Amino acid sequence: MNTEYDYLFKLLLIGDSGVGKSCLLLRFADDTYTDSYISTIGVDFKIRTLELEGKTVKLQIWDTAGQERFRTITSSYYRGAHGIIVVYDVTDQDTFNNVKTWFHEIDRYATEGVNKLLVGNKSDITDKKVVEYTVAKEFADSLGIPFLETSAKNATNVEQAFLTMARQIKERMGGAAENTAAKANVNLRGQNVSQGSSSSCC
Amino acid sequence: MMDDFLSELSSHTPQSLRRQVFSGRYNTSVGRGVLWRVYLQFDSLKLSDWKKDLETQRQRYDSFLSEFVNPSNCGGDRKMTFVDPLNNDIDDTDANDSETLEEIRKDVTRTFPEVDFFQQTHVQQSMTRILFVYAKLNPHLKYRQGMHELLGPLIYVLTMDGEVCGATEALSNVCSLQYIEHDSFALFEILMTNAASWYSTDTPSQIVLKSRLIQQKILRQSDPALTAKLEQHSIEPQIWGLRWIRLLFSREFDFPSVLELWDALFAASPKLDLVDYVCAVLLLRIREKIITCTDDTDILTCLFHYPTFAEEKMWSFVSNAVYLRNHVNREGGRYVSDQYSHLWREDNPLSESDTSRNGPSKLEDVFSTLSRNWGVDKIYNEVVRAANDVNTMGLRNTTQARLNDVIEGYVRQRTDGVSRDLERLSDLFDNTQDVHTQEYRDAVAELRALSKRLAIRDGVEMSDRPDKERHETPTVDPKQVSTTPHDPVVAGSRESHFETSSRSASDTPTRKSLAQSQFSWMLGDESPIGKVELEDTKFGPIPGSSSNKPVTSVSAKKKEVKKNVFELEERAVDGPL
Repeated sequence: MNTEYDYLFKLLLIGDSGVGKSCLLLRFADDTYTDSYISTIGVDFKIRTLELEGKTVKLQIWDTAGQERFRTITSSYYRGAHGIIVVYDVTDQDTFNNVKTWFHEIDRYATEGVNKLLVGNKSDITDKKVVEYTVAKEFADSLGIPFLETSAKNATNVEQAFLTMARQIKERMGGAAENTAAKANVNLRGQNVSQGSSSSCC
Repeated sequence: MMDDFLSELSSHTPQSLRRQVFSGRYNTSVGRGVLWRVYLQFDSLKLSDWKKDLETQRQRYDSFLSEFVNPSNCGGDRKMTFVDPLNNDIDDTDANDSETLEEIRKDVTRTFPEVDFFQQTHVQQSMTRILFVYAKLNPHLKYRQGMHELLGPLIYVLTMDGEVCGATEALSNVCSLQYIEHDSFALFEILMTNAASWYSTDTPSQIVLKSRLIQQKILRQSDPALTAKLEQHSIEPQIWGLRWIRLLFSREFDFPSVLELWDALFAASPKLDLVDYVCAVLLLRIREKIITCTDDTDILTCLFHYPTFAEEKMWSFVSNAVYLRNHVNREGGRYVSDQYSHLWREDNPLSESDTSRNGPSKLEDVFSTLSRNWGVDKIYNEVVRAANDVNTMGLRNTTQARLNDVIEGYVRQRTDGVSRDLERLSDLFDNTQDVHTQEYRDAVAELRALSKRLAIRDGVEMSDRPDKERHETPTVDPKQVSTTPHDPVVAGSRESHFETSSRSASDTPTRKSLAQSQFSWMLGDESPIGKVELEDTKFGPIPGSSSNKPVTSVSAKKKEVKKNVFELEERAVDGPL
C-alpha cells in the first residue's frame, strides 16, 4: 500500500504566456530561478511533498502552456484537478485583462467546486508595475477567491501561494480526501493503491 | 576537413548519403546544413543544380520581407546590425500582427537558453522575422508555440555551415552567410509542410488524434501490457505526444543529440511520417521503467522528464522506428524494448562506472524477471548474460531450476514454434565460447534437454546434431554475430572470432529450422533494418540491407560491439566511407 503521503492533490497553473507560471513552479518545487526559462509546450509537471497540519501532502503540479487557451487540448489538463492557480503578470495589463477568460476556461473544463487562486507574479519589478494590488484584490474578492502578489525571482509569497491552495483543498475535501490506503486500499483518486512498496519511477 | 567533406559528397548519391546516417560512421563536423537540404529539399548532390532554386527562394523571401516587414530594413544586406533588440524592424501597426509578434518574441528569446548561439540578438531577430513572415503567409495557423524550436536547429546548422563552408569556393553560394535567414526560412517552410497539422487549432485537434493513434494502434499492437498500464493510470496520449511531436523531440534530449536525431529523421523520411513510430520507440524504450511504477505520478515524471543517457546513438531510435513500422506486433515491440531494458537495470554501466559483474542476488533478480514470461529474445539475452556471469558466481544450484521455470513459463504462454526457438536459444547459448566452466556446460545441456523434450511434446521435428559436435565447432557464423549486437555481453565475447569466422555453420539444420520461424530475422538473413524500405522508395533501403545487421547500440559497452559490427559492414557495403 502507498504510505508515502496522506493526501495527493493535483494543482494546475494557467495564465497567459510569459507571466511566469513555470518560474513559480521552479521556485516552489526546486527553489531556483532563471531569467531565461524555456517556454512550456503543451504541459509540464513537477511534484513537491510538504507537511500540512501534521499530514503529508503530495502536490502534483501541472504547468500549462500560455498559448494553449480556448483549445480542447487543455480540457484533459483540467480533469481531476483539485486546485487551479490563475497567474498574471503585474507589469502587463493584457495578462490581467485575460484573467477573466481564464476563469471562464475553469468553469468550462474543471470539476465544479475546484479551488481557485489568483496570483499576480513579477511583483519585484516595482517600477514597471501597472496592475494595482487593490484592483486585482477587488476582482478576486468579487469572485470570492484568495489573491496574492508573488515574485518567483525573489521568492516572495511563492510558498504561501501553494500552501494557501493546499490548505483550502484539504479543508474542502476533509477526511474524504485522505489516503486511506491502509484501510480501504484506495487513494484519493479512487484508484487502487498498488501492493508492495511504492518505488520511485525516475 | 572541408576537402574531405566535398570529396565525400562527390562520392555519394543522395540515397547512399541517407544510408550513411545509419552506419554509425556519419561525420557531422561539417556541412550538416548541406546534408539536411539534400534530405529535405533538393535530393541532389549536384550543387550547381541548387543554384536556380536557391536564387528563387532568396528572392521570394526578400519580397516577403518587403511586404510584411518594415521596408526600410529589407535591403539585400542582411548583415546590417540592429541596435534595438527585436522590436525595431517589423511593422506591427496592425493589432493582430502586434499580438503575433509579441508571442513570437516571448518564445524566441527563450529558445534553447543553454545554447549561446541563440542568445545573440541578430539570431533572435532573424528568427522573429522568419516566424512572423510564416505567420503572415499562414493566417489560419499564425504563430504557434513550439515553431520556434523547430526553426532553431535549422538556423543553427545553416549558420555553422556558413561560417565553415561559406569560405570554400564550391560552397560559397550554397552556404552564403548573407542568405542564412532566407535559406532557413525556405527549410522551415518545407519542415512545416508536414508539421503544420501538429499545430493546427482545428477541432478535433490533430495532435490529440495523432497521439491517440500512436498509443491505441502502434503501441497497443506492439506492447499491449504497456498500453494497458498507461490507460490504467489515465495517461492521455497527448500528455507526451504534444511536446514530443510538435518539437520533433527537441525537449527530450540535449541540443547536440537533437541534431543527431534530426539527421536520422530527415534522412529516413523527408515527410516526417516516422515520427509516430519514433514516439512508440521512445515509449517502448522506457517500458521497463513504466511497468514497475506503482503511482501515476511516477509515470508522469518519467514521461515529462524523459530519462536519457549520454552514450546513446540517436539514429538507433529512427532505425528502430523503421523496424517497428514493418513489425507492428508484439515481436516488434519486444525487439525494440529489449534493446533498452538494460538501461533500467541497476547494473547499467552507463549509470555506474564500476562494471564489475553482479553477485548471486542479481542473478536471482534476472531470473525472477524472466519468469514473468517475456519473449524468447528476452530470455535469450538474459540467459546469455547470466552465462557470462558464470565465472564470478556459483550457478549450479540456481541456474537449472531457474531455467526450468523460465522455459516452462514461456511454454505456458506460447506453443507455436516454441521448440525451434528454444533450440536456437540453446544453440546461441552454446556459442558463447569464452565461458567454459562446468556450470555453464551443465546449463547448456539442461537447456538442450528441455528443448528436446518440448520439441517432442509439441511434435516438432528437431535437428539431431549431437551436442558433442556442437561443442567441437568453435567457429562463429558472421551472420550469427550480426544477430546479437544488441546484447553487449554475447557480442563482446565473440570478438576474438571475428577474424576466423566461417560461413560453414550457416548450413546447419538448426539454421534452417530457425530461418522458418518468426524469429528468422534474428539470424541475419533478414535483418530488421535490411527488410525495411525507407518511406520514399526512390531512396532505396537504408543501410544494412546488404550486410544484415540490426542497427542498435546503446550502452558504452555496446560501442565496442558496434565497432566490430562496422568492421563486418565495411567488408559488405559497397563504396567508400
